Amino acid sequence: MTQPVCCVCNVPLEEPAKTFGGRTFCDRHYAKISQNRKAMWTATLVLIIALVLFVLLVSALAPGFATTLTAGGLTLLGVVLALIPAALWLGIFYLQDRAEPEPKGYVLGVFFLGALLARAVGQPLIEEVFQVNVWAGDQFWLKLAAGILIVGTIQEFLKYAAVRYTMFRSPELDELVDGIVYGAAAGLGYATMLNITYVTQTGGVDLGIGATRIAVTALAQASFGGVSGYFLGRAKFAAMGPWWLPGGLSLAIVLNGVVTVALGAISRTGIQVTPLRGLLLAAVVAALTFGVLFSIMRRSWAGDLTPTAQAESSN
Amino acid sequence: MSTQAATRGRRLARAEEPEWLVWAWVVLLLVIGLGIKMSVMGRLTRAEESGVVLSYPAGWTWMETTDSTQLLYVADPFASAGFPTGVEVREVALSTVGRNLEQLSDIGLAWSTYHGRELLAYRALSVTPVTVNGREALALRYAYVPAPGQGAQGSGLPVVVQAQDLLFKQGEQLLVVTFAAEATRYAELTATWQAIQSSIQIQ
Repeated sequence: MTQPVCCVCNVPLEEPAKTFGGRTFCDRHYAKISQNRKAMWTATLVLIIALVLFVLLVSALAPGFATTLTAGGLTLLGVVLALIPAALWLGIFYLQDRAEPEPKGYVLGVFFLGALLARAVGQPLIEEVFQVNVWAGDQFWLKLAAGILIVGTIQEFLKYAAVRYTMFRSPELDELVDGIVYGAAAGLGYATMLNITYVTQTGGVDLGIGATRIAVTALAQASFGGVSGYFLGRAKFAAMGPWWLPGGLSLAIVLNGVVTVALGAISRTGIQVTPLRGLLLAAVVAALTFGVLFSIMRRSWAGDLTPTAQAESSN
Repeated sequence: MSTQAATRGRRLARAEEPEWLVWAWVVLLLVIGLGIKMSVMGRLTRAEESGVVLSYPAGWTWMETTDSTQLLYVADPFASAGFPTGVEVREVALSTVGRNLEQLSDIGLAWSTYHGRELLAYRALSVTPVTVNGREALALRYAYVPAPGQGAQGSGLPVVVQAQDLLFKQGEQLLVVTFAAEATRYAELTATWQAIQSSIQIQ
């Protein structure tokens, strides 16, 4: 019979090993499974509120900038604005995450990987190979199908891959909530690259509309990334069966497609653009998504996991 | 269900998170998406205007124009920032092109000269007699630089447009079907143009 090893750190274990969900754990990692990482929730809540305030502030100041800045200056300012959501989330996360900090380099690394995959693989595939803008522009069902089957699938798979093939097997992903942390980081990386591309392609944009779009994209992409991150986190600590990861990815994909189409529809009334409605929807989606994830995780911290784990370990 | 299949099913259910399933699922979704794209992009819409029938890609839209000779103008709004790929049908009195024009070859020559007066940096590339659904026509391929008001968009650098006119003689009228696109994209649109050309019917 093979000697059991901890599924987090691969340290060989003495029999009887502590088990949970069909996996074996060392004492240290068994105790950590259901720990909370309060900093993640605080950072996300602050991000949602701060981005709404950020949009209102930029919209109020935008007319002054538009008259004093050159096109190059506007583009530079737009790029700075595009970096703000990620800087906010990462900054607050690190300030709060002092008890047992997640290694800075890893969270930042997944963030950059998300951005890199967006630029090198995701958006070229969506725009050049599948040419979604060319054929899926005018009919609702076509937009929805393209949003789910192509845009959502590519974006969510790349965010999933940014976590699955880097942090998933790392001993640093040692708490259930870490999946959400890394998923959200990959989502913010993807969003930041989308926003920088948007700003540079439009030559500075209208700052008010641009700031709204930046905030909406960041909130939405971080939420979708958080969903697949949750499923990855669970899969690391318990044998969830073969359909768990495809199911979780599918949920993130459908959420991505439906929310993106809804954002496009709600931000327009005829030919009039009303971006603040989109911001409201994105904030609600982010609050609901992370709220649901928080509620699921709280059940774990309240003891749903541990007694079961203890029962399993005692058998 | 056979015993072997049941065993395979149980083995799959026991597996923890087989990565191939995620990849297979993603590939399946993308293949379905690609299928939808191809069916939409390959779909043609039929248009009939003043006795001229033709089909064009369903994603193209009708464009407003003030040109009184124009019967139809549809273009791809997403094709290019410099010049929209499109097809246009015009009916021009032969007398405005030249005098005593009976043969298609004479008409082609006169029409090319007419273009030379109208279009900036105009250059004829080829003139070929063709048959379109049983009707004799002349295909004139040419290039030019569109001025604002001739389809050029925005304030960016000028673009070179490549176009082909199909010329049909209709009594004292000249019917011109023009397919035009940015020269850099013209070659990749050959299939589109052939689909449009083969759909042309003149009643």
